[in-house]
Amino acid sequence: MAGITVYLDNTQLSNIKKDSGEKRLDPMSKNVISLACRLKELCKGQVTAILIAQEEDGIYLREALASGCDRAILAQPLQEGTDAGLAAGVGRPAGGKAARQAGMDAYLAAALAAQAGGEIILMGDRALDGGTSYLGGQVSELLQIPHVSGVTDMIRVDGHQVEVRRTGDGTQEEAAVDFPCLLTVGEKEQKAAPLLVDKILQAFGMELRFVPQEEGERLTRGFLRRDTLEGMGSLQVLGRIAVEGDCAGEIINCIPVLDEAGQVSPYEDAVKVLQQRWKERGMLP
Amino acid sequence: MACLGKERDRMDFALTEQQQLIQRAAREFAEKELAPGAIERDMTEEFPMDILKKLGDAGLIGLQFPKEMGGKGIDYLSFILAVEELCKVDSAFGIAYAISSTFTTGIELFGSKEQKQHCMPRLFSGDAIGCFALTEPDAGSDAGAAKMTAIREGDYYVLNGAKHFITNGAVAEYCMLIANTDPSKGAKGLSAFLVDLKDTPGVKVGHIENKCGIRCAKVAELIFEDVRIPADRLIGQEGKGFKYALTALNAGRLGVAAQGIGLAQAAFDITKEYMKERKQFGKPICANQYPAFRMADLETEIDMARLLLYKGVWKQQNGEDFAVDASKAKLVCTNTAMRVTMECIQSMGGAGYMREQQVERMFRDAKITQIYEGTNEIQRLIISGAIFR
Repeated sequence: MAGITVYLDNTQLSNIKKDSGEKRLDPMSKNVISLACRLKELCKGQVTAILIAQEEDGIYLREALASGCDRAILAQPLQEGTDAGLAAGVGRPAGGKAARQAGMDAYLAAALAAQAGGEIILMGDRALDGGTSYLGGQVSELLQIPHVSGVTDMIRVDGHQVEVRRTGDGTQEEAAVDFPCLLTVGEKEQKAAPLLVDKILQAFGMELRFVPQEEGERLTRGFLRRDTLEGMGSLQVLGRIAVEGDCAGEIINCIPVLDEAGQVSPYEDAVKVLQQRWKERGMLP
Repeated sequence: MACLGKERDRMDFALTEQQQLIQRAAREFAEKELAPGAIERDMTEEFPMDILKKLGDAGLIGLQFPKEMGGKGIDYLSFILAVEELCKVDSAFGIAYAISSTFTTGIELFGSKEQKQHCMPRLFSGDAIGCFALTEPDAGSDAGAAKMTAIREGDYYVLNGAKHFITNGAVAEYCMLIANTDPSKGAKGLSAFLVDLKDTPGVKVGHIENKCGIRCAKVAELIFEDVRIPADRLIGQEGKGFKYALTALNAGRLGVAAQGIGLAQAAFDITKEYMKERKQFGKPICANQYPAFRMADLETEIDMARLLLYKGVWKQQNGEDFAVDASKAKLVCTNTAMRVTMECIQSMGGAGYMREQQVERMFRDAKITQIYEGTNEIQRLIISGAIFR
């Protein structure tokens, strides 16, 4: 019986509310939940839904519970000042507030996943630059687990392996991956479970675990084995490297830079390590 | 609403999260199950019992009734929200659902435990639907003038007479029937009975009405010829039937008000989108001030009507006397439905007159809302009576 963790997208919530007047999950999050429920049937597991959002956003998780999830965790975002973003577009300065926030979400998401203990993590195809599954990549690297992107169907679970159907570069293929693993869900629309009254009532009778900001920061520091989150891999750092190195046209994904003690380095060290790596690759002079 | 003056220093117009999700469940059900066949059902007049069953499977029947009776034990507003959502898509189906709920309300308030156990399970599962039989050819607004008799003979009552214009009459399994156990007492001689329409010898479905609107709601004449029903099918006490009927009708009026809001909102939403797309003289028609101002007025009227409905619901939920508020809500919401649907057809021009756009169906459906569950003239009688008592 595998534990399944799903991450709900928090980037579309305000747009959807503005357009529809309602607080409702975005289609990708519903896809993720549908696939998680399919996986639940295959491996008889339990599904934990996690959303990084504000305290008044519990209704999204109630919808997730009513749609088939078994547990729900609402975690407040880490404070922006912790400066823990990791992804950037090369050739231009750091991606701005949204990018840094997304980066911080990655650290918190990894910490929560580690605590939830889910063996299979699912999330949607979130990215700042359109569907590159960068968040999944970030979290999987932080957790040091395999990552499969573009997942459209769950085929079977056999022992500690899950077989999925995925799309990539316009082709479709089947892939088998051992868990623990992280699966990023592709664009294919899944059949969502209808909202049933009994499920809704059950959802409101279930506990919604709330992780306030302070607890989230403590969890994240513990996960990263650091006393502080300040100075963690920064978008501005990577952007600076890119500008100084005159690199263009390459997306830098999450690179957890570990020092000799196995700790994730502060960004000054990360800069040096990354520069060295890129010199070796011929990307920097 | 989480509360509206429940704590006296605070008003809260927001739906609770649970109400929001119930509303969404009803909306998604309506869009998926009711929308595809709505135009066809209006033409064929076929009432979809299969969709009623799906509604039961979705848990959307019995929302406001106690769990001990097999209901969901949720608040009345959740039911009203469901009525509105269903009526946005197919108000004939929506009102059939609401009328069945009026029947269930009568049984809940005044029926015995055995009577409740007899019919509630099948009603809440969607396997059966109920109706409320009060109106007769000579007893419409003057409902107290009902002539149908129920004469006690030993362990039975013998029913004779006819009811007409009974919504769900042709498909209902259960009926709350109002008949006279003592004709000498007029309205005070009326009693209420639970009748199994399908299994009781002598009960016949007579003429099924060919209506202007709500066409798939099966409105029919019910004929009772020497129908013998067990005495334990008397609901409550003899002579209290008229009072029971009026009490059940108060809740029913809120349901009809919700139907009106659903019709108005649906017509408005369709028209709004049409006006954004339709171009004349090089611009969308919504860019013209007169049509845009018309829509501004309509939206404001819908909001006003909805608030009045929710106030009536709030009073009902809080155990307050809500009869006059129900009358006001019914009066305003149904008049709003009529006006909005008519203006929406006008705003859409020729397209609004065509079946495919569906607004004409909503216009036809809206008319009856000003008439049944007590005509709007009767509602004014109730309201003015309260003002000047």
